[in-house]
Amino acid sequence: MRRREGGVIKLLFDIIGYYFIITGSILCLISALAMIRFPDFYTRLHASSKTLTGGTISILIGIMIFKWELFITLRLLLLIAFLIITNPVTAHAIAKVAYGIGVKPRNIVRDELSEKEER
Amino acid sequence: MKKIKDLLEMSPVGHPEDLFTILLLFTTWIISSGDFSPSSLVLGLFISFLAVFIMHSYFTRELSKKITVHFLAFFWYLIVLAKEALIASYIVAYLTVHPKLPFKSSILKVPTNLEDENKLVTMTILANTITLTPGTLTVDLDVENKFFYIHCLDHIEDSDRDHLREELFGDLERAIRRVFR
Repeated sequence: MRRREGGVIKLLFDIIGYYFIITGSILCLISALAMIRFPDFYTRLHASSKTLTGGTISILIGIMIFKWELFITLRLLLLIAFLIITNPVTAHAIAKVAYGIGVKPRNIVRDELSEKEER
Repeated sequence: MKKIKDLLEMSPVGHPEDLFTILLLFTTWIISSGDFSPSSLVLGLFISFLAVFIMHSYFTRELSKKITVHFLAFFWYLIVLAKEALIASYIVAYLTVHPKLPFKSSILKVPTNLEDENKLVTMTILANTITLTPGTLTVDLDVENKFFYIHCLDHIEDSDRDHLREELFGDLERAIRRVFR
């Protein structure tokens, strides 16, 4: 599984690894930018749950391509799995509690959850 | 005397399916330690047993049983999920850097057609999965009638709810049904 030293293949792996790491860092930066630019609470939660997860996954995939060894790859896969499982749970919990205590979404087209609350 | 009996009823011995949870925890231990010496393996087995002894429920039992039995289907589900998360992050990043912020958000009520069996477990997983797909965030759910209340970043105008469901999470729902069949 170990890649050859030198040559075209190493260059190719390096380019792909750099691509993933750089795009991952940019995505993390954009998620910080979204905290300032988005209009209300729920849309900011979108940014924090999705862009951050995508950026971190991208960086971890980049490291996996750089260090092509069995146990490091397995460990990084485990990290990705935990990240995918836990991040949406926190986002969902925060959204539900926020709606419960009355944080109203701004600029909204249609709100079908409010019909449920009235019943 | 009664206390000891209660403790025994709580123990993993009462539920043979807890062995699946121990197996999963032990695999996680081996991967994260990367060490095959006997002392490490015995310690890992002890710790995973202790963790299951302290904390176990219907949810963990059912989930780890299904994951162990349908391992390949679960792996496929993780791959689909990672792909969706990457695409979603690119879409949200595009909306962020767009100078006019071209979206209108809405909260929609979307039905699902998961099976009634293990409804709580599958709905929990699907609700957390939806949060990772592009432009959607689960705010609340109605377990009795199997409805999700989804906050859409970009409003989709569609009167046919089944078509909307197919568009939002059709692939993921199929992957979850394959794991829990």
